[in-house]
Amino acid sequence: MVLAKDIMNSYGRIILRSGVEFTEREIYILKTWGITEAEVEEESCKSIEKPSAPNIAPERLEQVEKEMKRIFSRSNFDHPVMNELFRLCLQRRIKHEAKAENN
Amino acid sequence: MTTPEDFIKGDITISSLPDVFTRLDNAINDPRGSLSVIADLISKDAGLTARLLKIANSALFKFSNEIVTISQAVTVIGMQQLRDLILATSVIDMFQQNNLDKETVNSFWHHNIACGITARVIATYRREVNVERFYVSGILHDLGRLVIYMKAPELTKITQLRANTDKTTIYESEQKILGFDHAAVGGKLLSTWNLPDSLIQMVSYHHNPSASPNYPLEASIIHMADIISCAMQLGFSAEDYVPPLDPAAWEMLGLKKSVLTGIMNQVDQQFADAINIFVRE
Repeated sequence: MVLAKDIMNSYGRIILRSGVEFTEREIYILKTWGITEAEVEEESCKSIEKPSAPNIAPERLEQVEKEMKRIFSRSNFDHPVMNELFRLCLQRRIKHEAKAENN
Repeated sequence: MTTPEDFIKGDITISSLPDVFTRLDNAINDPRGSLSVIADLISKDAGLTARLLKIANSALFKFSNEIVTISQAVTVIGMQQLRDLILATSVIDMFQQNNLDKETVNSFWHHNIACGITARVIATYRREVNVERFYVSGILHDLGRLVIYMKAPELTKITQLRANTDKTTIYESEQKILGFDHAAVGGKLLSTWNLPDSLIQMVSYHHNPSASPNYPLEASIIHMADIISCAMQLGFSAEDYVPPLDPAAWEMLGLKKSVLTGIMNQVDQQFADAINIFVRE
């Protein structure tokens, strides 16, 4: 992962410059500084994105997604925040389902 | 029932808050009041003491040392904050002593407690002072719904049916049928209890936070917390659809959407603990 934008503290002092390669160490340092997010170059993080391969049956997966779509159907789904919330809730649900199936 | 007041007046079981809360509120507001007087007052109520100690030792605070006395809890949590937690506890207790279907009521509290936790987490992200007031507002946000259900169960059914026909949320169908919604009833109840205006507005405007005259930011926190807790399907309060987001409320929060993951993780961590403390299953 490569940092896309300089990271500054609240006084405007630069902590990390853009272009720096991100490793566990940099992330650890930023966390101790209380920095919770940073912009990274899109291309550079493709390699770490793990494909989500939950251990649940495809039919069940379809069911779960359908149900999640239903509960969001009376909301303003076109808003980017709602869209993100939907994605995260679906992921969370799938994780729970996979856990339940494995037990 | 044509006004929010109609749901509340004349009912002595809900028209006033438990005595212990009133006495404690007076003691906290008394300039001559001392920590030991307040701690004494709480300690006289064994049930409340046990509950507060459980809260102080729960995932909510993550203190490194165990808190064993009320005066310790007052010191580390703070007096105002403790009062807010006592308010939440008292109201939940008050509404559990009724003849309603236990499962419905428990599920109702699950949703409200989840909303309280979420509101508190959002407030922490925003570095708000006294995050407990968001916790208590979240816990009380749908109280109006429970009041409507207690007073006019058939009305709850009618609004649900109407919402399904119109494909809208229940609060919108309440507005169509009654001219006001459960948020207004909840706000009215809180004002009958003489609770602070900020709390009343957070509850009254949780579906349209931008309309709150004095506390739009606070109401926006409850609004967002309600949406997140509905989406996470933690509990159920008559409504199983996620309510629409007021875009202005999100703008006001000044958060990035990347914080959602962190918020949801923290809510998941704290939820089971809070349910154990507050709800008698």
